[in-house]
Amino acid sequence: MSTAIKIENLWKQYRLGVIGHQYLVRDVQSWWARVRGKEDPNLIVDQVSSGNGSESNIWALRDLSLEIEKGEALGIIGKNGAGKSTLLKIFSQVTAPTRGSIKIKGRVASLLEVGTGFHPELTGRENVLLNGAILGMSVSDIKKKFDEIVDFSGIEKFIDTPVKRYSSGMYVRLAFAVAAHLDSEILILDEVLSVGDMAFQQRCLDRMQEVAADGRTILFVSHGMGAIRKFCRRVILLQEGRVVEDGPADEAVDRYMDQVYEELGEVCEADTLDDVDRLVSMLAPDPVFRLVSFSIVQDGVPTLSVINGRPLEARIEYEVLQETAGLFVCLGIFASDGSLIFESLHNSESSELPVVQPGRYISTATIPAEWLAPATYGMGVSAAIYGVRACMDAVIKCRLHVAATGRVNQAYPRRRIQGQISPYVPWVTESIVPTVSKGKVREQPHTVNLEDDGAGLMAICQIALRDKEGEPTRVFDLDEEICVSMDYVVRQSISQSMIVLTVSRGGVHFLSTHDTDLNPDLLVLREKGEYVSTVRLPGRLLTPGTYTLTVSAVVGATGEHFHRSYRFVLNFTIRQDLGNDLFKNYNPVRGTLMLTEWKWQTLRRVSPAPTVAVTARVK
Amino acid sequence: MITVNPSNIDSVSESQAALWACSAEKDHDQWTTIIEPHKPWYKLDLPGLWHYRDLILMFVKRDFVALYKQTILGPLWFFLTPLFTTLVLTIVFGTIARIPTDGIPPFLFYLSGTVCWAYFAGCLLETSNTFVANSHIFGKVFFPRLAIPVGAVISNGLKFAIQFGLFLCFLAYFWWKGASVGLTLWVLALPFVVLQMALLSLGCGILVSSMTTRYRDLAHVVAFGVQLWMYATPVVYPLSQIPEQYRNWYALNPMVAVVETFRLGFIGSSAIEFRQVIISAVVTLGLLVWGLVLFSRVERTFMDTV
Repeated sequence: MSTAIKIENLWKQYRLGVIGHQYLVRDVQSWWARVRGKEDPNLIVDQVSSGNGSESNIWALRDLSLEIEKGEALGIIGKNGAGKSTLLKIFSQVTAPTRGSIKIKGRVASLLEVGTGFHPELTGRENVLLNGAILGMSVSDIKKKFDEIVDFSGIEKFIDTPVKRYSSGMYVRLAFAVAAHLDSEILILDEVLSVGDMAFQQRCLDRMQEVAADGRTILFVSHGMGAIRKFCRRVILLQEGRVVEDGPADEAVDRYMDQVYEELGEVCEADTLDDVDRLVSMLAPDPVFRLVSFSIVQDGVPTLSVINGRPLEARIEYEVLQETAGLFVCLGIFASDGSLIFESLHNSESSELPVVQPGRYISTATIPAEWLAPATYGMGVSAAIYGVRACMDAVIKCRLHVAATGRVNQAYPRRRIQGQISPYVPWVTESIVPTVSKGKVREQPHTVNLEDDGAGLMAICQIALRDKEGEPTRVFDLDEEICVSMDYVVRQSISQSMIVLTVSRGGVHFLSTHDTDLNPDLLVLREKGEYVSTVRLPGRLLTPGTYTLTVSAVVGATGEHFHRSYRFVLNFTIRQDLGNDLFKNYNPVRGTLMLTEWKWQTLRRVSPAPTVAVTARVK
Repeated sequence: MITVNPSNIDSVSESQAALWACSAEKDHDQWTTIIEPHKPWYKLDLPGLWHYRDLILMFVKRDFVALYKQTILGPLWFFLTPLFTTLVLTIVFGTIARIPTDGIPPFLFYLSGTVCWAYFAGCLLETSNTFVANSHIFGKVFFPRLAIPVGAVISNGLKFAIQFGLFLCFLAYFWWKGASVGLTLWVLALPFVVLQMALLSLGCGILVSSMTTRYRDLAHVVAFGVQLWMYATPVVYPLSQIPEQYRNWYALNPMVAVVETFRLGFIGSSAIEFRQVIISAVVTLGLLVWGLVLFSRVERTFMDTV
């Protein structure tokens, strides 16, 4: 294999602050001084004596030497300001190096940005030609590939519309289509390519893979470690303008991750169990509490990809260094947007403030099967002393991927489950004796009667909230079972009908659909008649607060053609007081759901003997 | 860690660059591109510019197509602008101020001056903005930077051609009406006159644009400087109004010879002498070379300062 690129002792200096003195007079002074062979009167004093230690100059690249083989995909990573962009700019000949040289064999196409030079007034067609020419293609080349480019962009219809009328998505697609069809031996890609939606990114990456398979040399700068690991066998890590690591992708990426975690441990979400361990080891030492490990286990296997049909355990191992009153470990589940769905504290059921003895413990919280929706969650652990302070300088968070396997929505497989969690809620549907006349009004304030216009295959007549004894009410105690009943009439026999119940508060929803536990192969045929469906929300499910209950009915053979849909809203309240001491110790309560089914288990470790000294952070 | 004294960075790197340049000579056939800190000032990348000729044409096309998009009158503006300017000049300087026009019909006299001047001023204003206005493109992709000013000069040249056609129409009209106008042999100098205007505006434009990367003040200077320059050029008055003994000095303004040669050729009346044409050509070439040298120095690193 031959060398495609050879970088020799490359240096690049930037001047900070005032550039070029800005004043003509001073420039003339400096120039006149040079002509007469005297010292420049405008040099900052320490510049003369102390070399590049001065503040007004920075070296973005310092003595960088590198050889890149033909056909190699090289990843360049590093923190902001490490010199990645500068290197690419010199490559693209956007700016010249201060010293050193780069020798290149072959044509270079550099994509520091897509859509460079697009003119808003010109049509898509004209811009493709212009952009292609700017990127170094000849007009005949572009015309040859024009159809291919337009095909790739998928906007044939709008190709003769001025690009100022394009949506930003169309704009980027067209721009990338041009860039993707560049002919060159060497391709330089900056992370700007990773803007845009997921589909676009995927397309970029797919196209990159094609290009790489072609045997072309690729230089790729990115902050996305996934993409780097995927495409680059060799990766260089830059730090302050120098190459500090040059080798296989995994090693360089690991070292980079170390650098990142050192700086921003608190913002990072770990993607692998190893990353979790690294985050844990980064925590600042605390005199009372030391987190040893945090893992998620399903069926005895530590993993971050679980299925929702089986329970999973969050295992938190920690060490308590001195006797503390009110020390608690807290587990929280976050939605993908970072909002807290619910949290759970260990020992929260204790009737008085718990006192923890020194020692090593493992606390395990069990999240029951069929609680989490098939989605990506953040699972975080933190520790605090009640009413005093937090014991960890950061929440250790990891990403949890949940796949669907449970009974939830089995009957309606093509309906995407909405809501952030999807617990399995038992439903009961009974056929009502037909003596109850249609539309009979039961005048109670806790029920809602829906007007029935006589149309449609199915109509909901009444929704009612009742307590355990069947007494209508809209106020419930924490322990009380909430019974929701729905009367509806089916006008002709229908094969698939759905009643969907949603309970929500503060943006957190959960949902249940009746008949979900039925076999999906069995088409539920509902005969003509009147029905009442009842669902019982168990006590201790919802935390105190006011909730909104929504019921909707959907009738359809496939779930795609809704013949009729109802929406209806009823508020009810869970009372906070009334002799409930559950939250006495930990107040206020955050989160919507109270997962008392989670089994916390705290074992005291007998061996090894508790180490009292706080061990130093491992780098 | 290597420490470097910044005060002699230039000398160090130049000598090193020279060394590397030597070593690179040997396997020059092997490498297609060599990126180095400095290149000699005389080494203009004209082959590179030729390679990107398609791009220059695209720029010309873009300027042309985009200029009057979403306007009502569209390309009519090519005619309206010089017509109205000439009309105003004729009224202000011809009818009110009564400045003599060497016996040429005032409208034709001012039109000839305006058409030439519009080309020069248009080019200069557009090219003088090259670096600052295009920094978003220059910062992202490489192509010979000269493509943009050259493109501007060509697209303005097309505009000039259209307006020149307008001038010819009026010339024919006045000739038919029996005014004392007539072509002379100097007409043959037209290609050179146009070329000189193009090179002059290119030279001045890139000179200013190179300096603008450091001194933004120049952008303001150019805007009204062009207006002042017009009054230092025989656009609204004939050269014959300048006292004989100052004319050679006056000809140091290269546009003097351009405008007057143009008039001499097409209208047949001017006080221009051959000596002044030579002076003008020399000054033009000087400005062009200075501009090119400065431009090729600035284009290497202007992204760091702009």
